Amino acid sequence: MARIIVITSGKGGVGKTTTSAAFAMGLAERGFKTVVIDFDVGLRNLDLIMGCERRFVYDFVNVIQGEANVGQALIKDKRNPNLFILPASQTRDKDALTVEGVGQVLEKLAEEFEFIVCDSPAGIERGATLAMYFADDAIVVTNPEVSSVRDSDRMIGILSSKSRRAERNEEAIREYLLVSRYSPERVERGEMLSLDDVQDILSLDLIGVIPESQAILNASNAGIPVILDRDSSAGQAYGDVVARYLGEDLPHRFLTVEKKGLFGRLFGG
Amino acid sequence: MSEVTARQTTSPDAAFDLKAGQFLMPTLVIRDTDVAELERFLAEQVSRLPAFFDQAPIAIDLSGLQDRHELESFPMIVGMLRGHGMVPVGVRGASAEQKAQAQALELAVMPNVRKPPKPAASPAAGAPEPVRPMIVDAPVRSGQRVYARDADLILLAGVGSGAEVMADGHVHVYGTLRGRAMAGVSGDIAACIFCRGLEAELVSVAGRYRVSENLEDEHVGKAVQVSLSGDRLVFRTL
Repeated sequence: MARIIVITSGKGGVGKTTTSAAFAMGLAERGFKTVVIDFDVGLRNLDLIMGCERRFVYDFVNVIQGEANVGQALIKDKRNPNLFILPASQTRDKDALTVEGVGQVLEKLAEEFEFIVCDSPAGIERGATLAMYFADDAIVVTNPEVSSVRDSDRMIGILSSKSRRAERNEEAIREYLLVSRYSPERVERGEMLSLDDVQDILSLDLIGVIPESQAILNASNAGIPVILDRDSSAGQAYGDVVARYLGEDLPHRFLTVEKKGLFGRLFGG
Repeated sequence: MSEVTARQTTSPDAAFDLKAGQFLMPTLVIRDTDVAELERFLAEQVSRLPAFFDQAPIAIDLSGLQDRHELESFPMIVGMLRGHGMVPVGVRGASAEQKAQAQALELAVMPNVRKPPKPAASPAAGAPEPVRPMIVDAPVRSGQRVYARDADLILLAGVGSGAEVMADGHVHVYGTLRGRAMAGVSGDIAACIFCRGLEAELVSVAGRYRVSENLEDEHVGKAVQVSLSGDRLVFRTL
């Protein structure tokens, strides 16, 4: 039985796609057969982050409309044989997604995969609500600033009322909080909400804190999920997220300002 | 696909809309079929407030008559109401026979809001049942609304910014209140708001409100009671 995980946030630009790519790759690295679906029809990005933008013919909308079957649209990741990508269409809009269509595609994927990661678009409209509708688990990505936190709060409310699990009165979606773009320096200077503030407002299980890192930008530009950059703090933090999701109990890292030693200062760490 | 969606949603220039509306309507509760007594009762009520009853819609509640399935005087009661200027619109608490009568009189059959009173509950049976407050144990998230009708509202967690909590009675928040809270929304001036941490966007008691910009610094983030004194909201640190 496949587990469906939605990566969502409400607000745009907080790191949903980066998280989806890293999380899916992390699961695949641990040997789970994983597929990551881009629900952002019309503004797709996942293909770029995954570095597969020049390899696909069919997309999610083609599959929903019966113009291709799931097998034809899935792209195998170059780096990991357990990982597949179902890209979004860039030329259609989100109205092309239907509950029945998405449900059928997920059902088909569930026969073959152990984890289905859904990369939700920003907003609370059709694309976003469909991405979360079938979810078993949700990772709510938040930046430590007020507008992002409030949008996440709204999203959590929608998750608890408008999902299939809620409609069928089943066990609620498991919700996790992921704080991204966290900068301990800026928290210390009072320019950013602290982790405590964010948790106090959202009161949700914290699955990880991703530090603000140049490595994320580099990875996106290169089309490599940042989790594969094992030397970077962001890559390690995503590794921890996957481990915690699978039930390991790890302390949170990268929460305090690192004091650079003399060598660090001289050579730029 | 987009066409279908457009048809499903209401466009702003649609000629018709079907909307749900709520109307407050007097209800005539019938417990006895003494028509002469009813005539006296109606004449007295109408003479006291003639404007109130003129052309006013009125519902007829038959749930007090559950042992009488047929009601010979029903058409007479409806005629009497019409004679006093009222417009009977529907019945509730009707038995199957009474529903058929209502249909013949072109009255709507309305859903039963309350259960018919239990036969055992005689007036002598003592204290009225207390109104239970509405209790919510999950955080109220941004965009969500909670309304406790005719009751107090008790929230065990916080209220997020952009959320709205309302009660006809008191509002208790055992967490931080960041959204909007309104107590006494049906006009109860004795209603209060209590919270463990006041960071509200707006607080209101019986329609008197204050927005966060006008909260005193000394109350922000504190456990506070908000009540109404005369025309003014009063904030008291707890």
